[in-house]
Amino acid sequence: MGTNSDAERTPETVARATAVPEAAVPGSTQPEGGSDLLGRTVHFALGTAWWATGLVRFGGRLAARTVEAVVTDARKRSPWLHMRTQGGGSDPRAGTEQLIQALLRPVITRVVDAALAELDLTELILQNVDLDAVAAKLDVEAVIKRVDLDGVVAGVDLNAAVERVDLERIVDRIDIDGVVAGVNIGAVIDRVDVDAIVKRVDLDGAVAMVDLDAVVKRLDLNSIADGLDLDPLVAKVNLEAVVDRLDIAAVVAKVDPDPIVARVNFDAAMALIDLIGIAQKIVDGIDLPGIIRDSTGSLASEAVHGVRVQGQQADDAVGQLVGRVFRRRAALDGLQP
Amino acid sequence: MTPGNQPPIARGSEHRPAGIVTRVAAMGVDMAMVIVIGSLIYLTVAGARLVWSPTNFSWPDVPFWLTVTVEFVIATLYLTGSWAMTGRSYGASLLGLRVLSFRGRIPGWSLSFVRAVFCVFFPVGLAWVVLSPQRRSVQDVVLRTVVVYDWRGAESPGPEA
Repeated sequence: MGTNSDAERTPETVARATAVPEAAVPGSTQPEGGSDLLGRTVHFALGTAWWATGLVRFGGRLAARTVEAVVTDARKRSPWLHMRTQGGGSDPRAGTEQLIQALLRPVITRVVDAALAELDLTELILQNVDLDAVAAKLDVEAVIKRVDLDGVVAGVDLNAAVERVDLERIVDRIDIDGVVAGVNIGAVIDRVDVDAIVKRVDLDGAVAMVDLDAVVKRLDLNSIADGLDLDPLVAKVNLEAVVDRLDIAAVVAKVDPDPIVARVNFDAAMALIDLIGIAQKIVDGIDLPGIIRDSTGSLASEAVHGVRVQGQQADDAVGQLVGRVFRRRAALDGLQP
Repeated sequence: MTPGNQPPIARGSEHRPAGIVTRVAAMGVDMAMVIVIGSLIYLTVAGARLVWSPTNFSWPDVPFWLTVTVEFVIATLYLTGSWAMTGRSYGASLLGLRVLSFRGRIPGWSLSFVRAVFCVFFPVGLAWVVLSPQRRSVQDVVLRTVVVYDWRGAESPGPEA
């Protein structure tokens, strides 16, 4: 960095310093005769200087020739110098230029660095360059085509980028109501292929993840039932088919009839029934005398059969006893001769 | 099938002559029936008297001889009709007995009447069944009848010609 005087030396001060003062321009404010004299004086001074420096210039050219010869010989003798000036071939002028570039490069680098440190390139570009014109001439598409976006994306750590994003703040700043108000939901719905979406959804897996018990507990079934108009639904149901598919016996087996029967008002039910008429129909339909006759006849026949068997056995017993007394054969007792 | 053409009752183990026990039991049932019939007649007469003169009603005072006579008559008629029609009285039907003639048929009215009178006035003749090898009473011996076991119901061998 320079001193205070260097810091004050801006491009504007440099321009002022390098500008030729109007008073120094020959003939600008002098009379025409004075300018002619001044011109002659300048030409004379220049001619004199060119003539006086002729020897120096000759010496310079001679020195350059000498230096070229020396450098050429040195390159042949020194591998290091040959390597630094390689590429010049056998042309001594090219080798000299390379040597000069090698010697001047550090100087140029230092000068450029100092100039960059002193100059504000950004300000200079903004003041002197027409960026709009430059941008208008740019072929943006060609630039984009030349960019390797895949490589750029592959090099980006998206996870880290996402972690650094404060999504809550972003969401808070979004006017969701306004966004939703501006959306034509009808048009969106018309464009959605619901069938395709449903076909791609794994409904079984989704349903398996749902806690149906909790859902059912949260439902207000009473309010839902109050809002339903069941009559048209029931009218569409094929109740006969439903009943045919029901296992009535299994359903009845699960029913506990005791509480149901306990709630029945039998007195009211009996009051509605014409028991006398039903009993009369039953009695008329039953051949009660025939049943009594058959039952009593059956009992009587069994009793009579028992009496007959017992009587016959008693007869045989008496006959055998008498046969022993009268020494008759028991087999003949009671048989016709 | 006419009564005269009725086949005789089969003689086998199921139609053996009945013994003293069943026959006495049948006689006891028949006696009860006669008493019941006599009682019904008595009640009928009493009822008729009640209807005829309710204010002067009193139970009929039947003399003993009349009672015995009426019972004998009832017994004779009862047994005659029972034997002549089915060969068995109510007591015989209950015990599974049947009275047959010597031809093995249901006895006729005359034979039934004679046998009924003989049984009513000489019931002791039944005791001969015990002593008889063929289990015949005195009446059976005299009138050539027999009393057999017959547990068939409506089937009957037909009356005597």
